[in-house]
Amino acid sequence: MKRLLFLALIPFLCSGEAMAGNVVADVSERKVDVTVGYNGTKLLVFGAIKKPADIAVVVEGPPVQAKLYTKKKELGIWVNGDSAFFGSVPGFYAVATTRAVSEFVKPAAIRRYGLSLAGLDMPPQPEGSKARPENFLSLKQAQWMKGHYQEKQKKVEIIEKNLFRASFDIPASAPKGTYTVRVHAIEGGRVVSTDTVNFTVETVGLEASIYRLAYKRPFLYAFLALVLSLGLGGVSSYVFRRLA
Amino acid sequence: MNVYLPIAEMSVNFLILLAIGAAGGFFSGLFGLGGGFLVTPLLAFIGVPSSVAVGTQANQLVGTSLSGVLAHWKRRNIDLRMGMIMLVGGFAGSAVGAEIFKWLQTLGNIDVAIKMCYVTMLGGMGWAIFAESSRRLWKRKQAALSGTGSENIAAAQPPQEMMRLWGADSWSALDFPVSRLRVSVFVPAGIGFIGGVLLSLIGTGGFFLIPAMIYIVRMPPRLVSGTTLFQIVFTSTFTTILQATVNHSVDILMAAVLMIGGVVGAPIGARVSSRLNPVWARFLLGLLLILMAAKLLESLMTTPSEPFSLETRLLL
Repeated sequence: MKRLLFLALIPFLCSGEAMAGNVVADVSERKVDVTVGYNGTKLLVFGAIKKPADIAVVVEGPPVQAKLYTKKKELGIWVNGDSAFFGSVPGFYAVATTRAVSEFVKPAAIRRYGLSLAGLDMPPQPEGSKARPENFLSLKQAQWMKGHYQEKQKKVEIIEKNLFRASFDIPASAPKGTYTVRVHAIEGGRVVSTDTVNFTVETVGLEASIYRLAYKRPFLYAFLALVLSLGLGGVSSYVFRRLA
Repeated sequence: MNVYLPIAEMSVNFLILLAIGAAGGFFSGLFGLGGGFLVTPLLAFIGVPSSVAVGTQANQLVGTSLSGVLAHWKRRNIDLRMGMIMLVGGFAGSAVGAEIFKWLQTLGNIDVAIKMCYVTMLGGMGWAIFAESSRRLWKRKQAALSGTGSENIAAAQPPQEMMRLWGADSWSALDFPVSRLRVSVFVPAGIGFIGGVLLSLIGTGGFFLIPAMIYIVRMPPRLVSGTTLFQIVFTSTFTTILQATVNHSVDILMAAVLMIGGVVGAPIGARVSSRLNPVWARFLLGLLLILMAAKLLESLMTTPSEPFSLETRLLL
């Protein structure tokens, strides 16, 4: 299916109109639905380039507030110790490149476009948050452990010189919201062309209703929880009396 | 096969979740006590945040305890006056427990606190049950060797007079005719209070309430289960509302799967219990609880794979 989509797009991608810049890109799913059986998704980013170039793909998730605790041992037990608060950091950040990024991009461009996790600087923080750059370094590590920050050098595949593809695993725990995919074509150490495309990860159906109810109408939610418990409790005792 | 839990915001294996519910039901059927003390640590083992496990547990308790109360009500095994006094303490305790819960959450240590409570509770309970049952098994073996008859346990004589205990002469004393005792209201209210705190904080409380009512208040054992369950029905309802509105830690979907598992597990447990020697069953339960406490403690003591822990929340 994904492959078909990819092939169907080739003529369109290669026509002059869409190729104002050097690069044009799209994603396999513009809307990822979080349903009852959701267990993360694999997102394919693909597209075409007019002339051969190196490609860097950045997938950035919605901003989140974050509280980072440093673990410490207290009476033999590991507990959360000091914390640093971040008013706004990317909830998801993945970058994939055709080659090791230092081989084809100037350091300044790596930082400017955030083309590696090391090159990703702390976004400007709202007033009152005292997080320091070294805290951000730890945050990147913690996010990486969760699979929420990823770095995939040499993972953008170039096919027949003009087509490229890269796939990303979006874990089930990644934040819901709008994700931005930026695809940069890089020549001579510099970004020469960029295409941007968005997709969303959203809870739908039952999952969305439960979540909305729990946070927007907590008393109604509590009432429903009680009804459910009483109902299943009744069923349980009926079955119990019949069988035991 | 996975199921995405909307409040825990994570994907777990559906069959494992169902099996945990069934295990809780199985043990409650086997020993006639709530399986909650088992479900929360098992959920912790598969990575469900303890806070959500606890809130969901309180919710589940409403339905299971109500059907228990109705059965006791028919057999007149409830001391309503005692239950009401326990309930007053229970409501206060539940509210205080929810505040402690919230405070620990802002410290980032609610999970560790809940797990430590479980280590203490499972370890203590497991040790008590294990020691008692192994002593009995040992005695039985000795008796079999020496050829004497079965254990001679005198039936406890029901006290004819009203028992006078803890502050029976103080201004706060009250007669409890059904239980045939006179005691300061602060004793059952205080026990109910601690039960309420535990319910909010760790999602279960019967393990404390029942022995406390037997050994501290000296309530006739016949009345203890029913009266305690009577209190739990209302405190768990109150706790569910608090957890859902203050802490957003009740996951309806997880509760449903766990309860469906329980429907299957409980009758099986009851069947097995009728075939199993009760002393041996308690011996095994004691061992199981000790093992779980040890496993939980080990997880708290081993050096974590990452030096940081991160909590994130979507910016709205």
